[in-house]
Amino acid sequence: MKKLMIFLLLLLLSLLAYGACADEATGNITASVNVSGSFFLIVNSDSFDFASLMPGQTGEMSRTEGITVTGSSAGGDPWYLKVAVVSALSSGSDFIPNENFTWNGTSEGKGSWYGSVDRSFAGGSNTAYISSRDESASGAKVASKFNFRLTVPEDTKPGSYTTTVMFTLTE
Amino acid sequence: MKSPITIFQSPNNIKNSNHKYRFDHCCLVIGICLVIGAWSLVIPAFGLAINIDQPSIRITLKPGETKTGALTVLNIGSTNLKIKAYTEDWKYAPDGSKDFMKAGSSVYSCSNWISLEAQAFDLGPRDTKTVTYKITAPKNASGSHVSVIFFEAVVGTVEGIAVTGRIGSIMYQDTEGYIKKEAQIKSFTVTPSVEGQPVAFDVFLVNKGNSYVSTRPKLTIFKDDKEIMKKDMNPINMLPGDDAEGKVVLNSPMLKEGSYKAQIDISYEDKTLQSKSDFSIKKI
Repeated sequence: MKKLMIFLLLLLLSLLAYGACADEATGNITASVNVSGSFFLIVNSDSFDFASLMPGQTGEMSRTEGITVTGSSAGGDPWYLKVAVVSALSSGSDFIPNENFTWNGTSEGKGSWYGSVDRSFAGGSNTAYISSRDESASGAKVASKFNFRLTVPEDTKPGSYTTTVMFTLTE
Repeated sequence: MKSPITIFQSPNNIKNSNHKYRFDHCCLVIGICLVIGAWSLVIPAFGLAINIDQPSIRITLKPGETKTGALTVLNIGSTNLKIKAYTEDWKYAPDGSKDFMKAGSSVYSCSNWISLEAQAFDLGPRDTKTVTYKITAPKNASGSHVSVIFFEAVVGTVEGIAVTGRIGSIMYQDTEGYIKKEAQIKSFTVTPSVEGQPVAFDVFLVNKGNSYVSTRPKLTIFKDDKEIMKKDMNPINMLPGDDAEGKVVLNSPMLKEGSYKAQIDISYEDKTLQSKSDFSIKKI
């Protein structure tokens, strides 16, 4: 019993000392953090190809998993993902018209996705995705998968045809 | 203390400590590979990952005035990027997105008023770069002007069809003292419907001023003069002279057979425009 009393007394003294110590140690520390705005675009590949195609043949891209493009904004306004080709597929002076080059795909987002059916690059830049109001407000990440398809016209000359596919993200 | 990965041990491995060590080691290596693999799904080993701190910039200038600002670009990927920075013009597309054009090609362009301190730079993984811009309004400036500052990953040497991306900060410029914001409702219609089918509400606006206008439409539906439904619509944005459509389709069980009144309220700046339309829902 005596030991218990001594223990409790020591415990009480310790708590008082801790309290006093805490009082003495109280002070102000100024902390600051600079949080940057978040508006980002991720594209998971820098190239793809259709391997070899014969004139008249239609081929899918060799990369079967497609190209995944992720967009996000915490700006509060809707954001838009567009896809375009910077020029027609060309090999020297020969080219394949943009209406023969198409894309489609799927999106995980809750906004408007325009790639459920094949769309060609003939009309220039295509809107692929418009974020929903919730996604714009919350800064949610939205991943969309793009597949590309090419139909080689019958009269196409042999060659290695290339171009650049450009994804554009803006509000 | 047991490692979490020991749960993968087979009974044979427990009997032999050397085998156990090898198995643990193997599991550890596999675990690390899985973590790296999972991370690589988020941040591409190839391709690009760019963040900018401001999706849009709103700036007011007096005629002849110059202002400066800055945008911070961050490479959130794991590869080195070569970035080029440049301005372009834009106009609204019918779907509300923006169609981009060569700098200086639009009547409402301020692209050529902007100079960028850095037009090409390298960004290593996790590197940031602050790009300062300077914008000067001409002495005869009036109304609103727009532009976009793009940051584009420069295509390297690749086999096949190159893929790249660009991210833009949209700039809206107003000329202080020379701004007239005026939107008008051209029409507000409700497509007649039957019970259980969607009802479409369409509003067409026109920008009669010389300034960019961003409106926030609200749709309210009344039955017997009592409000039964309210819906915030997507913003309708217009450049001077633009026509724009706002549409909402409702398929609500509250819209049963009967007569209704729809009211659209378009607010922008400190003004509100209003239009009403009667409609009815018929029984199938």
